[in-house]
Amino acid sequence: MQRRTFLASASALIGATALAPARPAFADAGRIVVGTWGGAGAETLRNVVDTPLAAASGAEIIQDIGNGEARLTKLLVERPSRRGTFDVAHLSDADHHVASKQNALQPLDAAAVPRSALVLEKLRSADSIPFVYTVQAIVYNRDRVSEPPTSYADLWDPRWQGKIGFADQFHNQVITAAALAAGGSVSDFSGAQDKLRALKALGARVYPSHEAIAAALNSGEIDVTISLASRAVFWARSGVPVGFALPTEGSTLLVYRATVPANARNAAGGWRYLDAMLTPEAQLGLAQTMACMPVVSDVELPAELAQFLPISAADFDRFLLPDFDYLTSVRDENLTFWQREFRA
Amino acid sequence: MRPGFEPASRPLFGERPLRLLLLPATVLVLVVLGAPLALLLRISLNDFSPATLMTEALTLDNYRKVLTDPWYQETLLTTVLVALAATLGALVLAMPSAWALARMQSSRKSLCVILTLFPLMIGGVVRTSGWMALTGTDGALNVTLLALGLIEAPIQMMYTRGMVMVGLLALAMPYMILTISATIEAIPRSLEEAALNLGASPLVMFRRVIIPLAWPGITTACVLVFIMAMNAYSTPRLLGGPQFRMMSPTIYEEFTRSHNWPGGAALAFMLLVTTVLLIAATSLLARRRTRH
Repeated sequence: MQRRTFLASASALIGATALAPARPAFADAGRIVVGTWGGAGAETLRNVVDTPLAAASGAEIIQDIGNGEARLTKLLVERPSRRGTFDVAHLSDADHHVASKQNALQPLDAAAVPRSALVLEKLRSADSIPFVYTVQAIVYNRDRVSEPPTSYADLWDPRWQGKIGFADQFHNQVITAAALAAGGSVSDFSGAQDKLRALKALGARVYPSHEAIAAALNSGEIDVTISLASRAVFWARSGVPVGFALPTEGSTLLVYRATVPANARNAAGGWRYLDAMLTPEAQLGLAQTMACMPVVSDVELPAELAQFLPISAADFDRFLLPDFDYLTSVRDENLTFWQREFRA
Repeated sequence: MRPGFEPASRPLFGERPLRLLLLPATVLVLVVLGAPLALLLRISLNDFSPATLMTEALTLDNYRKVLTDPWYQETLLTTVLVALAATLGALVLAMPSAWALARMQSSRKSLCVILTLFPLMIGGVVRTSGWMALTGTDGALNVTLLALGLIEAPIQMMYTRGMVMVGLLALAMPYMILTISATIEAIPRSLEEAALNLGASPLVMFRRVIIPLAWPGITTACVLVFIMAMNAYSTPRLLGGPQFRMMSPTIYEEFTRSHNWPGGAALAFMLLVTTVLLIAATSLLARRRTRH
């Protein structure tokens, strides 16, 4: 028995009404429930996807806002149920991988999402569409760093002694970077731990959150970190003097995906919604708000982002897709090393 | 009972309706607390597998793992020590204020009660964020000290054990002060005056009259604060930083980062049982003291 089946039967056993479907089955035709993150992203979705789609199709679009972990858990717990909560679920690529492995998603109906044909080849998947992407990169304080690092391997230079820090939540990405610096790959982390021991000896620190990293970069506590391009743009927008470098070893992609759950009540509406997320207006709006890159071939990057993140076609070709099966197999080992040795 | 020897005052209700009054609360507790706990207990007996997340089993392996792993033992020990220190620290700091508040008679009393309650009106995470803004490297405190020339480099206050203690004490004080002051208020002032009249110094009076009479309130407040500190999440997480380990953040990580639900559930039960055992032991000691 897997977690989802166990939990579903257990929740039924205790009569957990909170997990029970909240809406009647008959009211589905014109209603699309979209599980997504809150904040400015949700607001943009309302403006560039929900409102135009509602006007064009007459559908009532309801955002079910929550964090990614809660949404994934809900998808897995509801898996055995015939009628799920979401018609569309937005997931990070790591969460998408888990949901996909557990057969919680419908295979992409390409005919119902015509604009999926324009999705960049590298970002396609069998049971989702990407809607924006960003990449992992080196982020530094451009006021204090005159000679920015160009590769992950550069971070082991003694000039960063005591001036490098990482966000605790970013452990998988930092370990991936260390593996790449050690000559490994996204599917071979064997050299990563020794590399990170050496970096710890150089005084590398772990901060509790991305916000704490931004504050440390701003105050001069640290000069350099490994983070996401999108986050660097957010920091720059809020006045933190950061620059951004794509490491020569290759940047790992982070893709945000939209899916239609296997038990969606209004799958047709779900596919319509996914298609509406790929229109040029939606793509530009989402890219602008989330400081991410658009995923279809007929949309150019907004000017502000293009200036901050000059990403060429050649760069895009070098971007690496994480090997989630490998990451799952080393998850325990990585986390144990990170918690008990690197950040201790 | 013989006729003519009726008790002086008969209870308005028999035992049965009284028991019925307990029903709504009992049902509520069983549903919202008992059922999730039972589910958690069941999960803690399952097998963890990274690929399928969890497989059904009836094994004590998760408990064996968390009980024998020095890393978890250290985390639990740190949690217990921090909770004890926070409880004792808050008690020592709260006693004088609680007494003063209880004996205050002017109109300022209600203002003081509101001020004591004030920190509770702000959420825990917001309050902790306030501490971060105050004590960070470029926080208000460091900036002021630097501007005044009192320090040359910012003091590292955030992400230290001391900062966690400050945060927990601030959280605990209102509960401690209000609970103890309510008990002291119920002690007739004449008892204090009698002790002083009979030659006791204020300190002796406090030790031999106030503390014994307020003992039930003191233990209740201590138990409350101890439970809160044992289960603290945002304070150790945000003020202690990733290096500082207490049980609640560790349990959260076990669920969300390791995706190890059985392991996390076992850790949660270990925390629950430790807390209950320590409180039971303290209550036993307290009861013995009350009897003396």
